Amino acid sequence: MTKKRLTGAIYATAVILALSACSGSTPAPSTSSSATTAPLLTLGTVVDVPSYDPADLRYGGEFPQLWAPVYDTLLKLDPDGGVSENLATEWSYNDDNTVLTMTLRDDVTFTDGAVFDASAVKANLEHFIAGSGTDRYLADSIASVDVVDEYEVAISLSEPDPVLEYYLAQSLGAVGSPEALSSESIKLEPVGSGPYVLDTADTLRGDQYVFTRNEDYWNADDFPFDKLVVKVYSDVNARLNALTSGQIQGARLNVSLMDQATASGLELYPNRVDWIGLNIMDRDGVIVPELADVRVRQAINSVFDREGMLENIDLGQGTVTEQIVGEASSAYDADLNETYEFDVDAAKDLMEDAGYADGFTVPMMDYSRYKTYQPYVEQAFAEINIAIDWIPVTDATAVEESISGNFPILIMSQAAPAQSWDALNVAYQSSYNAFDTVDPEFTALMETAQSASGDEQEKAYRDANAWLVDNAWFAPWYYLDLIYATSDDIALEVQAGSAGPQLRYYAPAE
Amino acid sequence: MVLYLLKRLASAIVLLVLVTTATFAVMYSSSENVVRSLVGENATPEQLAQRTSELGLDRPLWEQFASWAGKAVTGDFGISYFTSEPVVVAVTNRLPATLSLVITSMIVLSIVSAVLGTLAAIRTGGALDRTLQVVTELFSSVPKFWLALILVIAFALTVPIFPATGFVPLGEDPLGWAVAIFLPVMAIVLGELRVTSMVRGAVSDELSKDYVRTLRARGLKNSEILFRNVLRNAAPPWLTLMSMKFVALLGGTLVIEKVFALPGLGSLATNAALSGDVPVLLGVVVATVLIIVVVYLVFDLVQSWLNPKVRLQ
Repeated sequence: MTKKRLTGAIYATAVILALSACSGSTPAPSTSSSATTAPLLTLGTVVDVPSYDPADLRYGGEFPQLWAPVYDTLLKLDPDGGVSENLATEWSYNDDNTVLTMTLRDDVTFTDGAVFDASAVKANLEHFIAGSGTDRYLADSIASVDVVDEYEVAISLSEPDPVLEYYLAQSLGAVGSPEALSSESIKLEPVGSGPYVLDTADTLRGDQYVFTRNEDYWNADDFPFDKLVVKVYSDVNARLNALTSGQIQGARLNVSLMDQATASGLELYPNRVDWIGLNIMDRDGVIVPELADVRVRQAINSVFDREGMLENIDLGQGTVTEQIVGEASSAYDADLNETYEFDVDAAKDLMEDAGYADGFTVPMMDYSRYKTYQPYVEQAFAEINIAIDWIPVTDATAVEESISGNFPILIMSQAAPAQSWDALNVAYQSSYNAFDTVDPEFTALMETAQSASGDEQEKAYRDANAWLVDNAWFAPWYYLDLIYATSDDIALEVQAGSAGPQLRYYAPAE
Repeated sequence: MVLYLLKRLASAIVLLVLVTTATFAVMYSSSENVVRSLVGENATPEQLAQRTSELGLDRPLWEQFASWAGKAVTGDFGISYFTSEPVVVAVTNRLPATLSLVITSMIVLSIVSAVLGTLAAIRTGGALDRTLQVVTELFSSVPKFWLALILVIAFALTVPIFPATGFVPLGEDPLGWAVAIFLPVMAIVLGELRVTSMVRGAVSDELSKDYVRTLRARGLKNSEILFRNVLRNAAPPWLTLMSMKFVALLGGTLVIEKVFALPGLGSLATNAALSGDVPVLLGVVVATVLIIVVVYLVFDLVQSWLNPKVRLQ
């Protein structure tokens, strides 16, 4: 190559690099190249939306960030975990808590022109009940939905449901246009009444979802951004890099990346969402007879160094607990966290009293999700001569195997929400009571909590929680912080016990 | 030529049938787990059965495959279990990122390996030759994931010249596309620099042959000998290697896609395999087999053009 040609090549390269730098210090290559002057909020999520059919929506984690822009809900979640009015302005139960009557807004239309009214709510709830989505169980208590008048609907329940209002602020309460519910196209092209409309032209499923403002939305003040882009990042390092470089303004991070995130000037919002520990499901001793003895389960609770595990595994991001209810739950009692001290000798004494000083063997899932915790469980169990037979399971089979009744003890992380019923139900009617263990005392407490209200209900929750701790149906280790990070141009209010912040709580930083 | 193409088409069809049948058989053995993933752990047996029936997974395996194959020949590859997207749409939406990555990497790698390998062969034992050998071995020994992260840290975060993540379609913004694809392509090219050594070896071998000495003795210029004879004769093994690299890259871009959050076929296929999204996985398999067949055909045709002694029949 001649000197002239080489020089020309260098100049050409420099021009290209200069042009790329001039396109912005934080180029967003996945958005439209057309300029926009409206404020933009760009978020990163871990999850992808499976379908925009309202019957298939999911309320856990960050899923709502992908559907809540287009689907408004009957009620909305407050930062403290409570609910308040949204599409429904008033609601009340009858005397025995089996009929919930809701008064609806009369000024809402869907983006296809259909009217939001009681008939639309009835159609949506019946559509949800007829479906087989992951959240279908949220509607288990609904027996029928009746139109009282144009803007009043009555939801009749087969039994009292202490968390129905909470669910109506989630996927169960998401309302799509009744005229679109039966069409196949709604799975990809949602028709709702939410603050935004999905821009299908700029959206690439599994990669990014682009939403533009719904100009007819009744509560635009709650959503200050004209445009919303939600990008899917399965790799946590890619998420951090996108945050650091300014391509996105909010995303979840792992605790191991907190130092890097802080050094990059990101704002961090730790939120206590899950508890992690053991679910001792075989309380009747079906597979492992020894587990039927409460002393064995209490010994298991005493053999874990919870503080040490939290520090070593999750870098101290969380707080030790022995309860499965959330700290924000009315059933939570800080004193219960002193029930089981880390005391191997005491654990051995319990095992000896129970007649199992020689221990036993228990099969457990060898599952990639909890691989980090398995050595600690193995070591702790070894202290009291419990041997573990690790059975490999794949990601595809893990859910089925967890509830199959094949595994007496699970390592699991589970939501620790502010809603007491939701948390305690893991031990009651949930699939994670895989051996269908029934205890009359616990059942009586849960039945009281289900049908009561006010102070009587709260007392029942607290008593049920205390009962679970005393009878060691679980061996929780700690609440785990989920870390949400934002750029410094965003102000965020997280909701207690919620992994994915609601869109209405993002705002430009002042 | 026509007969040759027909033979290649026939073998492509046989390959497609074999690969899709094997994939189908392996993945459909765990259909209940897939349905459980779709309906969640709180679904009742009735809801599980309802979704199983909706997806047609309660039919015999042969019937499911026959149904899929019957629709596939009409271009209907079904719907993704997990995104509700038509498989054809999902795959075609992902092709631009993967093909951009693979084709651009191949072009850059071809140019870099040909130029540097030839220069090193011409000056065997010289400073360039020794430097290239060290550099190519160094980069080829480093995991692509690490290379990619270093490039991101250096040129997207520390000195923000390029974007850290994302893809811009070529048709939407050519300059944006080039800027977005630069770091991913560099990560791949640097990791495959060992091809340069292969070129160096092939060219060096040709330069040592008698016909080259004969041509020099006849008074031909070195450049003429190089471009008209030596490179042409050294090309076939390099072409064979490049065709294999192309196929390997087609299936091996997952790590790069993850680091740069590129919406490509690699991540689509991996997610489909892990979740049991059989329709999508089959769609990716078919697309990949078709691309591989076309790639090998193109390379074979180029080989025959370079060397008339290679007969297609």
